Amino acid sequence: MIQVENLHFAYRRKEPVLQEITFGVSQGEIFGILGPSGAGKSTLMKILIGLLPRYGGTAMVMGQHCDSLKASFFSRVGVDFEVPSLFERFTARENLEFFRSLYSRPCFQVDDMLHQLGLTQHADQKVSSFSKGMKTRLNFARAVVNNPDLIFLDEPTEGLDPTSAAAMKNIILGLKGQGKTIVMTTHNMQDATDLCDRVAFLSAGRIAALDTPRRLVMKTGAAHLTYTYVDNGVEQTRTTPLNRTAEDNVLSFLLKANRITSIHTDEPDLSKVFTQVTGGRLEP
Amino acid sequence: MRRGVSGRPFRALYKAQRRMLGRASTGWMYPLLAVAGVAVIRFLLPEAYRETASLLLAMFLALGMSVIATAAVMHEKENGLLPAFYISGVKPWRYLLSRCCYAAVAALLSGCFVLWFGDPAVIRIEKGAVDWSALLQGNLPRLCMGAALMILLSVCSVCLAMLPALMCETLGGYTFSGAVLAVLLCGPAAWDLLSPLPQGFLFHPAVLAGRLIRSPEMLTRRLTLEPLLMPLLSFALFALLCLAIGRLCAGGLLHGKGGASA
Ligand SMILES: Nc1ncnc2c1ncn2[C@@H]1O[C@H](COP(=O)(O)OP(=O)(O)OP(=O)(O)O)[C@@H](O)[C@H]1O
Ligand SMILES: [Mg+2]
Repeated sequence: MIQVENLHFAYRRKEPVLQEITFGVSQGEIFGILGPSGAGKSTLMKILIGLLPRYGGTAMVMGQHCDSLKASFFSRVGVDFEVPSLFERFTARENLEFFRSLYSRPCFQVDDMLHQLGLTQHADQKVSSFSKGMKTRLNFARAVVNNPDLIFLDEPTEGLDPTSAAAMKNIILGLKGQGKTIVMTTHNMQDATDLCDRVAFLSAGRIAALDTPRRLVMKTGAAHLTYTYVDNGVEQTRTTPLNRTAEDNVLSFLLKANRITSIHTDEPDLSKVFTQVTGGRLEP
Repeated sequence: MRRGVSGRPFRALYKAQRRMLGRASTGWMYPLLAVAGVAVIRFLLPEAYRETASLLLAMFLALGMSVIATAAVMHEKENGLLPAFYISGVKPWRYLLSRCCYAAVAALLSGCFVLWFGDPAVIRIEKGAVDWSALLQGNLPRLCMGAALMILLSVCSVCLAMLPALMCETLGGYTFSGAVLAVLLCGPAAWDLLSPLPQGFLFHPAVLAGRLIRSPEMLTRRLTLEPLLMPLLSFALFALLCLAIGRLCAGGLLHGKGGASA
């Protein structure tokens, strides 16, 4: 679906934003692009949808070069931009009807989409009176209204409450179930773990790591087991790697003596990978 | 290839622009204002009316249409809509023409309306009845010619208005460039109209349109092509240039260039 080879990009008269980017996305996959703010995630997306045609290297989407996309491309692609792109003076329904009318292929039903995103009540309310989360959801609906085969989502769960975020994730997984290919960026590592088949970490314009979330997590090393017990009236804490518990004699002894007061594992997760590969902080 | 794209996106964009600008302010206000302006001139300056009405109308159109077009584009730019149009497959030409379409309708409405009802030369009432023979003998072609020029002129100004819309990022910048555009579009026309000096050749759309409309050939209803040829040709060239500029700027706008984009 997407092939990118040795991609370079710089904004006019600026330092390079992207360097030596190489990856591929196959049909039916959810591909995550992660990285700190300003890493170039949105820039990479804009290149892939043809908004920034002056790049170096090769970037091909659905068999077309990204600097010369044809009309057939646009009818099969949906993009959720990071800034809401909606008519403020239109109602939610009018917005979707408008964007629907730009396509000649069969589109999703507006009422169904509003219902799935929990916006039915607000369907006839002007967008200017919407909250941030409502705009985010409507913007998502706008992006996929044409029933696209390839979907780009730039931070789709940003500004959503946990319930809406979960609903949104279900919709994204539903779209994947229909065989659609999805490329998304996010700052939420949990979402990336839940949704993405593979993720690429962008750091300082380069791909710092690319693999399935699970394998990336495993590569950062085994999880640790931390337990506490009371010894002579003083609480003690010990840590041991999960794959070496059998060799920890203190642990075996305490377990047999029923003396452990608390026990938990700290699983490595994508946030750890993020900190490791980018050497930076994770945005909330 | 996408099929059946001809009508729908175009109509949707056109309608969206009307909605965005607000029904009251544009649908009716524009022709009404034009009529009111011409009526005032007719009462205040009955002598100069025949000479000035059409030119004033042309200037009014050029200015009004460029302001409306820039306002609409700025609104879309602020709401990050232009990249969304782009990704929906809206081509720069179609975007530009949907903007021009509005201007053409307004030009046709107000131009015809004012020329038809306001210009004593077009319709003459003799003994309480319309002088149809005079109308058919020459006033009708004159009217069509005037309306066509009005349309072309307003389309040109919309195309040119894409330029400040692309360049400006702030409301202040837009207001400033709107003023510059107004001076550029209407200044020479006003000068041409009011100057007591012999009027030389001025390569300017508003001037050319105004001159053509009130040229002796048209006013005396003797529509011979020869004296009109040069101004018409140069005006056509100017229109092509405007279209090219408009197409370039529309392309840049849809690609999210010129700040305030998604
Ligand atoms: N239009 C532009 N002109 C010049 N530089 C830009 C432009 N847009 C982005 N940049 C620069 O390119 C770099 C990458 O920006 P980009 O928007 O791709 O980051 P991002 O990874 O999407 O960040 P975030 O997570 O905050 O959305 C930044 O350093 C930014 O300053
Ligand atoms: Mg971004």
